[in-house]
Amino acid sequence: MMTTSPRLTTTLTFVVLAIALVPVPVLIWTSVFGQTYLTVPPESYSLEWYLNLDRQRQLFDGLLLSLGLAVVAAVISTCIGTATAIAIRKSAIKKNAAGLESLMTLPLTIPTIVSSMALFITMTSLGRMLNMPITGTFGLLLAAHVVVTLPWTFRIMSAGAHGLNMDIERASLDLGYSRAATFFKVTLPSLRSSLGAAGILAFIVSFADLEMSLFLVAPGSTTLPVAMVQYAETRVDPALSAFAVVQLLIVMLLIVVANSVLGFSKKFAGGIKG
Amino acid sequence: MSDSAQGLRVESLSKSFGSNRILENISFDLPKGSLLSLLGPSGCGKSTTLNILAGFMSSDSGRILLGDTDIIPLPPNKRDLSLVFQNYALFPHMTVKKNVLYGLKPRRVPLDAAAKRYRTVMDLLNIAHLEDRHPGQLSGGQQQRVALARAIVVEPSLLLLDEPLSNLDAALRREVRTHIRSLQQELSQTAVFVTHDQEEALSISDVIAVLNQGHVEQIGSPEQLWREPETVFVARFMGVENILPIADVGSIAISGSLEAITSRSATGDEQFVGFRPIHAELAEHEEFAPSDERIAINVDVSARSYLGRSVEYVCSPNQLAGQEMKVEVPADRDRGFVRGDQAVLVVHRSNVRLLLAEPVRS
Repeated sequence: MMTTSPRLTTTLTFVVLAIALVPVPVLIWTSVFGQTYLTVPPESYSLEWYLNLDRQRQLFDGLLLSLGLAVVAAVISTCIGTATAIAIRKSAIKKNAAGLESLMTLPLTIPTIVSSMALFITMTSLGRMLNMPITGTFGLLLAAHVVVTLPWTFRIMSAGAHGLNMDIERASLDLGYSRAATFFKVTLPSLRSSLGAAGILAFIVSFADLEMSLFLVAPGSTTLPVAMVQYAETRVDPALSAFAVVQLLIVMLLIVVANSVLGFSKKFAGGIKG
Repeated sequence: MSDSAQGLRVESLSKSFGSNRILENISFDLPKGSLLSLLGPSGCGKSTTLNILAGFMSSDSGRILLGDTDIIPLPPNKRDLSLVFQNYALFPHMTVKKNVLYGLKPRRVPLDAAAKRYRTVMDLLNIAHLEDRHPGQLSGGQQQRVALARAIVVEPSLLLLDEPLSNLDAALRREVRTHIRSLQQELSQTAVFVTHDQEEALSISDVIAVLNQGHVEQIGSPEQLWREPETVFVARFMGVENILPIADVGSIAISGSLEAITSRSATGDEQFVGFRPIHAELAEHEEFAPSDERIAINVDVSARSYLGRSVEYVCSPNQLAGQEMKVEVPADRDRGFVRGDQAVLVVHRSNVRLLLAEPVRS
């Protein structure tokens, strides 16, 4: 075995981080350029792109749709992921647990664009058969986003549920609480850091999703990433950068808020000592 | 039964998983305010019994009377009992205070009464200073006391303790054990305590039920079980380490009459005799004087361990291959036998106990 020196590891970490993060300052920089074309150095600086976000109708509507879609998809996906994870943790089907867990994460192995196309073709035929619109509806888009985020929420909730001491539910029962009360007072709160993590991750995956939405958005009502691609087909200008920065800020804000509200603090992460 | 009307009465609990009989006719009576230990090795059914008492598992037949009501049909949250778990099972997202107060709300204890009970229990267990901490910030011993507080503050008709000391280190275990016992007596709390540790059961209980392979092997006070174990299994658990078939002893004894012992038998079904290492002694051949009172066997000394207060010998009877016997001699009376020495193992017949191979089933 080759041993790695700590210094090498640290250096490598910084190199990787730099590659990943350097484009971000460039993006922020270009978003305050004063002209509509990207030349370096810029002729002037301006905040007009931020002040006039809503003037880019298609991008702005996309932003609103993406926000709403991500919130609803994250909530639904976290609920389903939690229910499944707890069911597998507690149930008599324990010996099949590993199989069920891989089944839940199977969608990850299919390229999202393939799933999206398959869903589009299937639902178009189904819609024709039933003589009702399915593709192009918000419902299908939402369902698709739940599908795409579910492996993530399930994975996180599953890890959380595995760390849960199931005796705490029994303790609550014998102290006089019903099963339902026990679930809401003990089981869910004990999983709250996992719930927070799952919800945030689902939001981010949905909010940034391009491939799943590509086939499923209705004409004239697209999500932000799809709108950005369509916009970039004709021009790349500071307005696009400004939207990208807004997208970035929303995700960062969410993480910061979740960190303080849900309190992923040391005392909580410590759990119960054996 | 008026004397146990407020206590616990378990009648012929049975439970099978498929063809596997886990519990067979478990019955016992526990008067109000006393503590019963379910003692036995892992797999003997003591945890299953506890789970059935708590309502986490169903039984195939039998009744559990708590006071006058059969609690078998009731779900766990409607049985007036609380459990102290082996791993404490404290709610990790609540402070100590919220953990302890948790059970008072569904029992509709008025706020001022609840506050008073809370104070009393926190002081009794000496954990008042920890009330704002989370379980993750407590040591094992502190968590254990919080778990105990949470269980007794609701003043249950029955307190269940599932090996509550097994996660503590040896020194702390004794301390907490004494504490649990004095608390239980002070509050006159009816309790069932599950353990695999003989010493723990002896020190803490009013009644001990020894469980073996799903049935009650023997039930009685700690003194009764210690002095009068009835079966080979109970005797082993109670430190009667030397157990031999009666016929073997009869054929190899060089002194002593077995008839005086076997005549004590009530049933005549006993097939084994047993005695404790501390009741035996080792003597030189030359100085040993045979008598009816003293059973003696020729042995080879195979090991000697100095234990401070006493010396423990392992020896094997000359004529019984593979059989090992232990003798524990007070250090001041030790004769200093060494490995390979020939000696005579002597035990007074009043210290020899007749044992059944299996308990008599009714």
